[in-house]
Amino acid sequence: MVESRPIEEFTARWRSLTGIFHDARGQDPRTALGKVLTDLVPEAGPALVFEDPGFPVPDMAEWLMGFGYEPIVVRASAAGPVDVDGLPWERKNLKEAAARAALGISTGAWAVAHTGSVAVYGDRDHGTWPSLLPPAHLILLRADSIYATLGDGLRRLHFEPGGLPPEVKLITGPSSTGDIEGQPVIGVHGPARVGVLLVDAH
Amino acid sequence: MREAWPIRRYRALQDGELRRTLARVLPRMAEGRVRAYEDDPEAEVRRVRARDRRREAVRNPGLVERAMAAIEARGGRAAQVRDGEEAAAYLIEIARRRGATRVVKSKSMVTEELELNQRLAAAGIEVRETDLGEYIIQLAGERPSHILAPAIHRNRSQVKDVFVDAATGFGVEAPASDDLDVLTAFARRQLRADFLSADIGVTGGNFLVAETGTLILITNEGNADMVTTLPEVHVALVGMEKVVESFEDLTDLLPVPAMNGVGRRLSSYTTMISGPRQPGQLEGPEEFHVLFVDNGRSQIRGTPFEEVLTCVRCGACYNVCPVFRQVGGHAYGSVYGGPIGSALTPLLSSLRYAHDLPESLCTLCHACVEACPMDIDLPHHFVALREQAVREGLKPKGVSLTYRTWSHWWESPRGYRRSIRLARLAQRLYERRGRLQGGPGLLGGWTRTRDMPPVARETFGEWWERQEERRHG
Ligand code: SF4
Repeated sequence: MVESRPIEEFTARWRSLTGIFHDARGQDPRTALGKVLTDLVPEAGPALVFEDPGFPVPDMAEWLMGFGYEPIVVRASAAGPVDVDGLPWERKNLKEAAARAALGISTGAWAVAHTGSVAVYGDRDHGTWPSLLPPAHLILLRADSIYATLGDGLRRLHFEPGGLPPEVKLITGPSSTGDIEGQPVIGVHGPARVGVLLVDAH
Repeated sequence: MREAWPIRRYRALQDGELRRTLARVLPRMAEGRVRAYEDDPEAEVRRVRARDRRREAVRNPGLVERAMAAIEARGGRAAQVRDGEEAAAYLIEIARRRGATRVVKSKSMVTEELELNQRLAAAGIEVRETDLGEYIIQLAGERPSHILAPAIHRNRSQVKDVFVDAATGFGVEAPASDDLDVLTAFARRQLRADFLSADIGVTGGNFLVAETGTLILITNEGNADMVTTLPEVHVALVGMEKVVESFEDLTDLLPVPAMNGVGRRLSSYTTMISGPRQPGQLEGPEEFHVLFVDNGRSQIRGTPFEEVLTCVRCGACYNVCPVFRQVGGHAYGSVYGGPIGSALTPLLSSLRYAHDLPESLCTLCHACVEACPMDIDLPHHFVALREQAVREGLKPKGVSLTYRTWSHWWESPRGYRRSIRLARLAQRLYERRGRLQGGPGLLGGWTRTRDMPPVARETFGEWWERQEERRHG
């Protein structure tokens, strides 16, 4: 049984940062995805999906197509990332694909309720470009990976069995700035819209 | 040569637009901080722990070496550089080796301090600032005026003018209005192309963990993550005082800049980089370098000023400072403005270069001490620097003489009384409608923009004496 207090606190804080949140637990995953995408992305387009080998959603590409998206799949393999056909991605092509995507989808490694943050990893099996280059980012987050405090999350990271990933990004709301007249503007370089789809632990 | 303070002050005070923006933005950031602490009862406990960890870290001379070893162990490269010249040489070497000509940079005060952009430009390497505020001032050819909001001195229509000029130069469509979303979108579009084509990414660093060699970058816009993951090379320039001991320290440290600068629990992006990309990974750089920058820091270590090295550049002291709120960052005439800049600038360079900062830009009100998450006692250091400036003979002769004479007379009650009688005679020359205007020497300058009540016809002391005489005499 997953504790519900951190989930509630996370939800409230994430939403207060203008993040979109959908609880897909116990729901049909396809329907839940459709709902969150309606709120998150103004117009369907190319969708960069970095598949997490520890957390596969085999039908994701098909569902996305059903919603009018053009899925661009990145799948980790022992030899490096491959596309849907199992062909290796090249760095340059992946960069360009990410840059033209309307939506990036990746998984969150863990989250922090107190700050409303989600950690995404950049290592062999996980990418951070979906969270950076497209104007909208959807994070799939497992309900059992929300910690109460930042300290809990960092401890988990420190003792990751595979060692520290080369890049870890704690995302706390959309890309934002106050650089002109101190007025808040969202969506500077990174995504203006961020969404979390909370899914069951299995 | 720096411009003299009265000139900088005059220019800032004449700039109505600047002062309106400062008056609107700074109090809001300061209030944000207060509210964030009220909202989070545990925050104060974490802040005190963070402060203690920073104090221990700046006193620990072995941390840089440990950090360097940890970085190398994870496939990164680490080096120490003494000054801007060495830092630039390191980068130029990489650029030559790789045939690189284009650098993208995310905001970093230490690279400002090292004048890195100018040095790289001189070597034919083009540097593009990518933080929105830095981008604006780079296009305008200016210096940052606030550590968090470097372009805070410009309003939207002035920003639009800068972008319109730039668009003409780039041969692209200019922003259609001074709407904030339109201006931001223009920068986003232009900078996207720079990110995707850059050869080298340069960043600063908020913290660096000695235990794991992890570099921490705290940002809001997302540009730092572009700079660190898109080019083939990432070079981080980190002040040697930014190293902290253990990964666990991050729990209390990571929230400090955002909590105290703008009142958020965390900034939008807290990025932790522990090495170059792994085999089989496509994102991230092939080469990851960390340069530990001295540039005057080691001369502060072990002195009574050591605690200024614990500064996390949160900006809280800027936001509350009554002087900064009036004149903004450019009036400091140095890379680091604001209260902390008034200490850092003379300490990193020399007191001769910038003794005006601790002398003239602080009222000793202590607002900064109250706001500082590291409890840095800046006013205390300013007084010490003022004393040092006098000892080193940096004050003009007339000034030292005036103060020396003044303190001589007021050392004894007799001298004091005599000075009063003398002043009463002399002030007849300068009294206008019951106020003192003008005066000999320093007083003349002082009263040019202020006025002062004259010495009373009878002081309390004299009155008292008269009463005593009457009673006993
Ligand atoms: S001196 Fe203190 S308040 Fe000022 S920037 Fe540094 S840490 Fe923040």
